[in-house]
Amino acid sequence: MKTLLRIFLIALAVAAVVGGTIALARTGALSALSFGGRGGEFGEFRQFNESGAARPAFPDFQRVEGQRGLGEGGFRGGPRGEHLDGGIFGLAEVGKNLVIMGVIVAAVVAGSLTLNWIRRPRPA
Amino acid sequence: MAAKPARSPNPTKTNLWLDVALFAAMLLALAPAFTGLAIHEWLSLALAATCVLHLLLHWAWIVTALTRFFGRLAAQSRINLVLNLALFIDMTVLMFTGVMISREALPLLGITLAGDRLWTGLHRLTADWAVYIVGLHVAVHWKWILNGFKRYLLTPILSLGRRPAPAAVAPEVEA
Repeated sequence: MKTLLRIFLIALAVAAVVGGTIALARTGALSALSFGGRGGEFGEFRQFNESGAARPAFPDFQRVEGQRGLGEGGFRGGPRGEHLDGGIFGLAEVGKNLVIMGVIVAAVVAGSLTLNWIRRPRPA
Repeated sequence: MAAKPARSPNPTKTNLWLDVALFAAMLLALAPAFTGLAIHEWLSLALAATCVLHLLLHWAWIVTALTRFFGRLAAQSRINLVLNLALFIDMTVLMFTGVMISREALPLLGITLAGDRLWTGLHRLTADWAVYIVGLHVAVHWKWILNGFKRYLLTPILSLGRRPAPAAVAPEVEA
């Protein structure tokens, strides 16, 4: 019973975050957050929003012959229902994420150890 | 026959192995170009359920930190709570946008949602942020992780080589 109540509370928190996301999406605030500054691939979308025009429909991406199903970032590719296969080359993405996390951990650990060294009790 | 007394599970050990599994699954889920879209989606859904389990296992800490946030709480715990809240929000938006742009898992369940470039963009953005926040989350707990690995992985492996030699059998005495 206690666990069920806790799961319900987690679901409530999830609902609050999702509700907030949908509300922000409706106001158009998220388009600036998610595509702002970089332009690039989503520049076209931003122009649509800034001009106040309706959003472009989700396009049906075509798989280009000779290319993998997943493009940069891994979320582009064929239309719904098409099986997008991964590959051993995608292992580079795992490595990249591991390196990023490793750098963060190394930086925090180095900072923490330095701080402890500075704060160490010194003999009078 | 007398029943064996039930051994209570070691919570630290359980937490450590669950967290290791979560981390590994997260690394895989964040690389759809490696796993393929179908595994990416199903793994992410399983990850969402495991995240709930992770929260349930740390419920006592969450409640204590939340109730003491504006009162007496160590600075590190306060930073930790803010970081964990950011991770919760990021993961929730990541999962939600993932569901909204699902092309494999939900259509298989008979649910088709209208995909939107906004959700796709937001999904990518929160995935990028997840890497940074999870990195920080691991970094904040590096001592606990290191101690856990030493205690539950390194020590048992090293003790395998140091097993005491079997007791010598007394030579048979011929009559």
